[in-house]
Amino acid sequence: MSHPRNRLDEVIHSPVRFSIVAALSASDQAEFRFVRDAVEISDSALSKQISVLEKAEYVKVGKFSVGRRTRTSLSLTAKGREAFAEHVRALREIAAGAGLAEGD
Amino acid sequence: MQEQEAHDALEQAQVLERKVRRHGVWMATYCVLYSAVSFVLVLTVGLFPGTPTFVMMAVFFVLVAALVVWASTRPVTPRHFVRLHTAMILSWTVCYTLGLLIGRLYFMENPTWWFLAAAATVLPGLIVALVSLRQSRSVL
Repeated sequence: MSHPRNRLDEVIHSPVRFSIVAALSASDQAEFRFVRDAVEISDSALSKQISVLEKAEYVKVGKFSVGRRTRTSLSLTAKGREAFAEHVRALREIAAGAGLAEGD
Repeated sequence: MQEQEAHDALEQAQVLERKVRRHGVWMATYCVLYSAVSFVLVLTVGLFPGTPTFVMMAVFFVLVAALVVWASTRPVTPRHFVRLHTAMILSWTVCYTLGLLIGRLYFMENPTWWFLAAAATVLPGLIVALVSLRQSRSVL
């Protein structure tokens, strides 16, 4: 049986990206600045991670106007939600001690 | 990855999810306010039939527009918002249409009917508000 760590998603595995995806998984859509504050990183750091997630087709970025200002919204794609769910399943198995018998 | 690392990551995810879900609670407020506006509208139509229709509808649309503008400024759109909102509006439309149609045909002078009709139009919003609140509390 494959160890659950082999099912961890390489894109989501990074702690910051994992936090971003976890935050987005709880909503249909969230504003960029809200996610930035929730995950406690800077604008540029978030932009960088969002680019990686967008390239992996896990996150969709939208722009909309509120008055004169342009706001950025972030949402998980179906692929992103599935990848996150699978990643969480693997984490749960690891946390439950799965695969210890295989010499972990 | 070790067990403790995985456990910490899951805990971190839960904390973030809770934080985000709490910011989706506005939907319950939105549904309750919409229901309140609907209740007043139906009662006005039934108990004060002399009130010009365009005045009632204008007030209704202004209030609903204000709600929509407020909702659009919320930083988090809760999960399944479109589905829930659509279900609420469709159900409300059915309740409102039937309430007014039957009321105007058969119960024009009957305050009991209008209170019941108004209460019926409140149900979709209250149900969606409860679903939304429940959703805001569930975790990973």
